[in-house]
Parts: sequence; C-alpha cells; structure tokens
Amino acid sequence: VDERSDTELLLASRAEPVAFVELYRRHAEDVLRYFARRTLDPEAAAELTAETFAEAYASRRNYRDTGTNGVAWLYGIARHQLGRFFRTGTIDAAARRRIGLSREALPGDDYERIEEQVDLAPIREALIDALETLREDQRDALQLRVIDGLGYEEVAKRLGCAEAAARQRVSRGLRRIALVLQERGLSLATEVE
Amino acid sequence: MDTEIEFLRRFESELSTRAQADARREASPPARGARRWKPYASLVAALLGLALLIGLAASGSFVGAASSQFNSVGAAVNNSGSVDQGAISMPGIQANQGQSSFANGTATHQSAPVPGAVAAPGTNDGGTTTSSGANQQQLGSGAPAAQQGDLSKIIKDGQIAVTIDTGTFKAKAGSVAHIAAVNGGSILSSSTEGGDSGSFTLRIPAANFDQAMQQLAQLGSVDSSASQGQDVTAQYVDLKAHMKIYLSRRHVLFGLMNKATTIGQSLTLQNQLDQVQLKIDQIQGQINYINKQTAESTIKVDMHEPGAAVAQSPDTVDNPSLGHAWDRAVQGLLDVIAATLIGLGYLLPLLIVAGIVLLVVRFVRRRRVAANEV
Repeated sequence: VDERSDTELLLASRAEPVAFVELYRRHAEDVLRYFARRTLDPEAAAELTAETFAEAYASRRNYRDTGTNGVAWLYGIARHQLGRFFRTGTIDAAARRRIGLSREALPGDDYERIEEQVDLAPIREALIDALETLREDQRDALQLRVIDGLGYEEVAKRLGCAEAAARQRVSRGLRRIALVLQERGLSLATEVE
Repeated sequence: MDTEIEFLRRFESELSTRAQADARREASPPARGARRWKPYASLVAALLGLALLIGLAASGSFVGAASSQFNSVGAAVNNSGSVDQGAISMPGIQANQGQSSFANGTATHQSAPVPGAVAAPGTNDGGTTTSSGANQQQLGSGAPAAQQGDLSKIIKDGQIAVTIDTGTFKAKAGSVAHIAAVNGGSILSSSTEGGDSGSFTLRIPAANFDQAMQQLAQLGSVDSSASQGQDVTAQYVDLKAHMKIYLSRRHVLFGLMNKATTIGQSLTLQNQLDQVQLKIDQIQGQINYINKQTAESTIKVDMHEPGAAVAQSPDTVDNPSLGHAWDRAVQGLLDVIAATLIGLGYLLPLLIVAGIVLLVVRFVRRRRVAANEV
C-alpha cells in the first residue's frame, strides 16, 4: 500500500507516472459519485470521471503544491468538466485523445451500480415536474425505472425494447432532467467533496 | 482496484498501461540532439518569416526602383539623345547582329553592326529607323517633351453606372449611341432588360476617353464611375527592340543568301529566314494589338431607370476558372519564395556578422572558464 499523501503522489507523478494510478485508485469512485449525483446519468458520470482523470494526468506537471490537499486540485478539474457539460450538454474526449486513451462504452451492468450511488429520494418531486420536458419514450422509461423502481429487464419488457435500449432511454432522460434542473437553479447535490 | 464498476476497472487498466509507457520513456535518456532540433527549427522558421517580410518590403521598393529606372532611361534618351545598344538584350540573341555564320561553318560573313537599341521616339512599327551605322543611334539633344509622351502606351478602360429618369430609357440609349459616334467610336455590344435598363460597351478613341466619360455622366445621376489605365509601355518597348533585332537579322540573312554558293547553304539560310520571318510576324502582331488597344479605350455603361433590374452585359459574367486560379496559386507560391530569397539576401550579411560575434563570445568565454579552472 502506497502511504504517500495525495499531494505527494501528484508531485511524484511528474517523474513517476505510475504514482498517478494510485491517486486514481483512491478517488475514482468518489469522483464518479460526485458526477452521478449531479448529472443523474450513469453514462455521463462515467465519461466525465474518465475525462477528469485523463485531464489531470495530462496536466499533472502543472500542479503546484500550495499547501492544500492534492485532491482539491482534482475536484477543481471535475467542477470544470461538470460546468462544461451543463453548458453544452455534451462530453468531450479531448483529454483522453491527448494521452492516447480510448473512449469506452459503459458496460450494461454498470448502469445499476452507478445508479445505486445516487440517492434520488430528495429530488423525486422535482423529477416528476421535469419529466414533462422529456420525449415520450424517455419519460416512460424513466417513470418505470426511477418512479416505479423497476429493474432494467422489467423496464425493457414493458416498453417492448431491448434492455440496452431501455438503459439508453433512461440515461438520456436523466441527463436531460439534470440539465433542466440545472437551468432552473435546482441543486442536485448539496454536499461538496 | 476494489470496485464493482467495470468501467472504472477498465479505465484504470488503460491509465496504468499509459503511465508505465510514459515511465519507460522517462527512464530512457533522450537520444543526443533529439530534443535540440526544436529551438533550431523555431529559429530557422523565424528567420525565414523575417526574410519573407523583408523580401516583400524590398520587392515593393524594387517596383518603384524599376519604375524610376525606366523613367530615367526615358530621360536619358531625351536629354542626351543617345541610347546604349546593349540596353535591352533578348535571350538567345546577341544584341550585336553584325556577325553571322552558316550552320556548317564553311562560310562567314561580316556585315555592318546593327544597333539593337530601344526604338527611338517617333519610329515606325516596321522598324525602319534612321541609323548612322554606328553602334549608337544619335538623336537630337533637344528632343521635344511631346516625344517622351509618345513612348507611353496605356490601355484605358472605364465603367460608369447612371440612373436615368423614368420613361427615358429609349431616348437615353439613343444618346449613348450618339455619344459614341460623336467621339469617333462605336457601340461594341449592348443588352437591355425590360425596356428600362441596359448595358452598353463602347469603343472610343483614347484621345476622346475623358470627354466621352463626361458626356455619359450627364445622361443622369451617376451611381458609380471608374476608370483604369494599364501601362504596357515596357512591353511595347521590349517588342520594338526585339523587332529591330529580328529585322536586322533578316537583313543579314538576305545578304548571306545572295552569296550562298551551294544548295546546302541556301537551304540552311532559307530555314533560318523562315524562322526569323515567323518571329517578325508574331512580334508585329503583338505590336499591332497594343497599338489598337491603346488607340481605343473601352467604356462599359450601365444605365437604368429607378427601381429597374440592372442588366448585366455578357462580358461581365463572372466565370470562375480553375486553371486561372491554379496559375495564380503557383504564381503566389513563386512570389513568396522569391520574396524570401530576396529577404535572405538582405539578412545574410547580418547573419554572418552575428555568427562571427557569437563565435568570438564563445571563444572568450571558454578562455575565461579555462583560466578560472587553472
């Protein structure tokens, strides 16, 4: 187990790139949760997480130790990524391309696992209002999945589509809702890592 | 990584592979000079950019210099009355045509040297200039200023667009024809649209160009008016000089023909004569064309009543030509290369001086370091 602090890992990663992987192991799930609670979209959360770490890896030489924990620098990049996502509604893969990493699709089982990271209870009421802004197929999928709490297999059966398609409709619908809520100034997560 | 999320595990694997590759690269020292080329490349790029800028600036001044040089040649002709025979040379043709020989080298013939000089003011296109037989053609030292004007050949073009009163188009179209006629010209082409607008192309003697433009402007309210002059004097002077050279060569060849003793000699001379005559005809055609173009000017008139659709004359239709675009692109490339070369010519002495200074500084530093080590 590497006992170096986050700051030490970041500083060491300039000359010792493998040290950055340890930083990733420590914080990847937290960063993913950070994004999932704000975007509501597992796919977007995973992509933003990957892009954040890719950006941090590519710019690790720019990190300066100012006395604060190195992870704050990481979340600075995450906030930047999230802001851009809310502004444009899209996720760029520029940092991954820059360091030669591929853009992986989110495996099917990960949708449920990431959704488990998100506590939808506090925003359920706002969700119901925002549902009106969705396309019908996305709304139906979201109602079955989020409001009724059905699994994707059951959602797919009821919608008469493949499970992957059901996941995609839920994912796109949640992303849309997150954008709408953001536009309305509703915060999806109150805690700040 | 201890997580159930497959995506994060896959990304960790990719990130780890990348980090290990980077670590290996960091560990292996860069090849000697591998990273040192960048500053040099930047320096070379900066120098080339600077050379290009200097070249462009210098090229602009060259145009002015060439122009003033031409003017000074004209002044020399008028003031001193003499023109150097070698002032204009033609590729592959010696200015002094006084000597010629057969192809088989069996006979030679000497004839009087013929000046290959610029045509004197007032000479005819046929090149039958007065010659003293010497290498220089003497002109009167006090050549009148009007003769300097004779040297210039300018093709004048003009465009004018006028808005005329409603219902007067037919009458004004007649006026355009009248203006062309009274100025000794004619309507080359015309097109009308809807009986209230039209476009005319006039050919007017150059001497009456300004007068015709003024008269056309009085037809109505002038929307726009422009005139351009294309100076083809240098081209004209070149052609005249070439003509003179070829005429003298033809004269020499005729003389040789009279003295030819064998069929082979006659055939060789006849062949050369044919080529020279062909050149003379070509040059004469170009001279005639310039004379015609400069004797008459072209005026394009667009005339329309208020609110009428403006007619477009057929020769103003813009047909983009890829061939022309390619030619311009190649010309632009060559211009940039030429400008860069010119700029490098200016920079080279400075670079040599800078290099010497740098070498001296490095030498002195090394001496000091060596002295300190001792």
